[in-house]
Amino acid sequence: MNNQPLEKQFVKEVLGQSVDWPRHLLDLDRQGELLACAGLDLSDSFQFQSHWLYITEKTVGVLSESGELLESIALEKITRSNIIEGFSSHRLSLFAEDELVFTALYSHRQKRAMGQCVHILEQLLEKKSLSVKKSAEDIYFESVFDPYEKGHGTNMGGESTVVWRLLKLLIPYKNRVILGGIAAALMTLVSLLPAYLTGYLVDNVIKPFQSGQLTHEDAMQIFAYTIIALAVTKVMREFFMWIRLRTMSILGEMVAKDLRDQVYSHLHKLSVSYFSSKQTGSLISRVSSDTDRLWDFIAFGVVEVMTSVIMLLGLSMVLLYLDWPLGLMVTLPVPIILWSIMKHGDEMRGLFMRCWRRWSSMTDCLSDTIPGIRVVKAFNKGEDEVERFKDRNQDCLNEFTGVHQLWTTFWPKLMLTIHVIVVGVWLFGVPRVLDHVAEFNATGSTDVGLTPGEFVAFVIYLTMFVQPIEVIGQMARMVNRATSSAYRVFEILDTDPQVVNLDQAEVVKDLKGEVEFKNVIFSYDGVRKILKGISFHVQPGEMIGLVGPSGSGKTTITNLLARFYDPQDGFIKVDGRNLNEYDQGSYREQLGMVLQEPYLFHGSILENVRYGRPDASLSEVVRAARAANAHEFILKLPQGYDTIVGERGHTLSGGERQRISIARAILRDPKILILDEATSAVDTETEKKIQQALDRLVQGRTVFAIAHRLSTLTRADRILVVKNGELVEEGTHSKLMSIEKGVYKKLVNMQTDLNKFDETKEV
Amino acid sequence: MSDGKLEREGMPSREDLSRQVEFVEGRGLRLKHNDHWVWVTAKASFPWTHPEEFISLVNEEAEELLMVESLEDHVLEVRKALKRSLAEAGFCFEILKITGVEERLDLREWQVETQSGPRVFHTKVSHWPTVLDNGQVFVRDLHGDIYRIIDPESLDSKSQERLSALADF
Repeated sequence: MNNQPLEKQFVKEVLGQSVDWPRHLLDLDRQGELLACAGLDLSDSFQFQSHWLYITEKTVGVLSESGELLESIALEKITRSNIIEGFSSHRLSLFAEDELVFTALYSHRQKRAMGQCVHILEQLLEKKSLSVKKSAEDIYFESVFDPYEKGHGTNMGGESTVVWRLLKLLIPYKNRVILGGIAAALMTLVSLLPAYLTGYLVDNVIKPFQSGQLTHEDAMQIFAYTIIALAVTKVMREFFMWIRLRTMSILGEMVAKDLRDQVYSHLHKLSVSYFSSKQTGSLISRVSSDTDRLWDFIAFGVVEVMTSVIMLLGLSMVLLYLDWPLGLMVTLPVPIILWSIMKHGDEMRGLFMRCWRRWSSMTDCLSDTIPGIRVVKAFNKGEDEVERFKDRNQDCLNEFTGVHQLWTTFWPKLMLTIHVIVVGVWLFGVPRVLDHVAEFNATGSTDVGLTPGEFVAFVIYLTMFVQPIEVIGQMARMVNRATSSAYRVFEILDTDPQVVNLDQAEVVKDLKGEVEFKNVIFSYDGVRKILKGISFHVQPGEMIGLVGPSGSGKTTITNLLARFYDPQDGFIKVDGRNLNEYDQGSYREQLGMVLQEPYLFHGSILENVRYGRPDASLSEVVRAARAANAHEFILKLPQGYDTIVGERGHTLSGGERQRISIARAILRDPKILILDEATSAVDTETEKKIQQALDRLVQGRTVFAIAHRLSTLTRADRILVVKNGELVEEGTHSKLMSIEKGVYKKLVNMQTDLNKFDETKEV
Repeated sequence: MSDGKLEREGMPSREDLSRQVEFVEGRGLRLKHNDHWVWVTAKASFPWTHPEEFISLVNEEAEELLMVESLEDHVLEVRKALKRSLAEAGFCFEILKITGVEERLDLREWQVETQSGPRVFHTKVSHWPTVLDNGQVFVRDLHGDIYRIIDPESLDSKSQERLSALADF
């Protein structure tokens, strides 16, 4: 049995779901008989259960959690299946003609797995050959895991694994890390010296001089050595600090730069499906803000925590060494203080969550209304929207007030506790200093109590205690923030492209443009089939019109042809070879696309036309622009081809942008051209110009054209009519118009009626 | 549309609906449509705010065959039949107790007890529960399952405390 530890481990540990399949299921899988399975996790009374539905080539079976065979239905008896979708439950029903032979419930969690089962079942019922590429176990666990993989970075283990992985990024820079680490450790240890020297000065200079044990000259000499030592420690501290800051901050930048490069280049390897499931803003923020936050963690967080731990341990040892009873008085409450800081952190997290929610609600208000400002104004809802915003803004203030009330109460309380400890140290320390002085004065002994110098050093060390406690207390939050960012970044890096080049993929140089679809089945979500066994054959140079109601699968056909996705079943051949045998990059160089919403990049018109062929000469650019009916309007712009078009080309009209995108396609000289509603978003006059440009563009190429206005497809050599993911009609315009009650004829007639209606209105 | 009731051509009127709708145990709801029995599903147009009004009866192709404006207008058998069908289509997990809410793996993990049994599910950290005007709280997990808290104030104090950071009720 093929093992998928990651998904399986996740389903078991995170979802708490049993991953131990009943023995019968395991046996079927081992024997290669199991084609698919899914959990029937809801009983008829909507209680959770762990029943399993499985499919083999001969039967559909149901097993209980203990492995008891509850149902076994011969496949030959089943004629069709049906799924009724509810909010959280779905009902699968299997029929023998109209007779119900099996029905059961399952939750959304099993939806994808059940979708696979039903897909395979339908293939079997239609006697189609199965092209199952994975084991049933893989399919099952991937289907349950899929929403997590798509939603977030969960495929990299627990928090500690992520921290280790983050730290592994430092390996290429290990010399710098060692240098920074040693500098940080030395800086911390050196920081402990001034307090000791201060105490030494009191006990060995000031006190002996005061009692007449030292002459002024000797006292000054020892003082001079001490002050030099003090100065040296200060210089050393700042020196180590300088090394640490410089080394680690630059190191952080290097790691962040590496991550940004890795993430961005990996993004370009990922399939279109990945981008469909993510928000653009989220991806941008992962490349920018999240890598920046990781820089902060690597440059400062790691070292801060390390130095604080060293400092706290060093201080505790020094205090216990100086005077263990007083030392215990200071060190014993430390765990309680750390615990209270962490507890406070938890409380703050809860409050911050509320703040974040309020903040989201307020910003939702902005992202709702600002893009829709025309609607707001047209419905005169400006004042209502202002009130809505004010309410949410007030909610934010209320929540943030709560946050400030909490932390402004906690920290003074904590400081008060530390002050109490300091007072306690004075309370118990000073009498012991006095005992020492009295004993020394009486007997000359130094064994009793605490020397004044030790006490002074003790008090100075005490003041150094607060900062490392604070840093360690905040450590959990710091690590949490860093790992959250790391999850988001690693999630991109860990995502495998769904469309991949085969090892022996052929770099294609010159295509003829012959295209064949054979029994192509495709679904974006693995559940709802968009294409249900489409087959057609296109000769090189043919112009194909793709027609059908919206949602019928036209654009999906072109997406598959562009190999943005791979079909789940069936195959696509170009020039007689399976599409996946070609190297993606070289294949797409032979492909041109003109979309409904042309996309121009920030830059000059020249750069945009040349996007697909940066080496094109100026004369080629002008020729392409002329052919695209763009040359004239470009020259009307004061800066001609050097005009900067702004983000997404917003400085140009829709028709102008479209003509530039056509010029771009012409310059590319593709063998296969896809026109997806290229003229639907423009006025009639502009459409005419674009149509002229397209007529020039399509010559000598294999063209797939999707058009809302069917009249623009009359020039097509053939028209493919798609409905509900199936090819329902195929032929020339005149042939299709001759089919009584044909789908194409109906669509043309509807459009003609609509045009007549529009003309009547205008009259 | 007549008399406040939406009707489709060839559909039974309110008065004779009792003879044309029935719930078959283990099979579901069926409707007599153009003299033929058709298996249908009842879908509430406003499932959370007005669950017993504007009930749409749809066939397997998701085409609406009949709209029932209000269950109250119909006799007991019809109401029972429609409610049975609604109960299945409108089923969602009712949270009875929240035993834990944690942020884990950059997701929010909910450990809950529902009327169907204990369950662990996840949402994105940026996805907050929805609170309706009638006080009901809804959470949709990454798989698409919906969890409902009908009356948050009836939850135990720990559950309320856990929910309070995530929703106002």
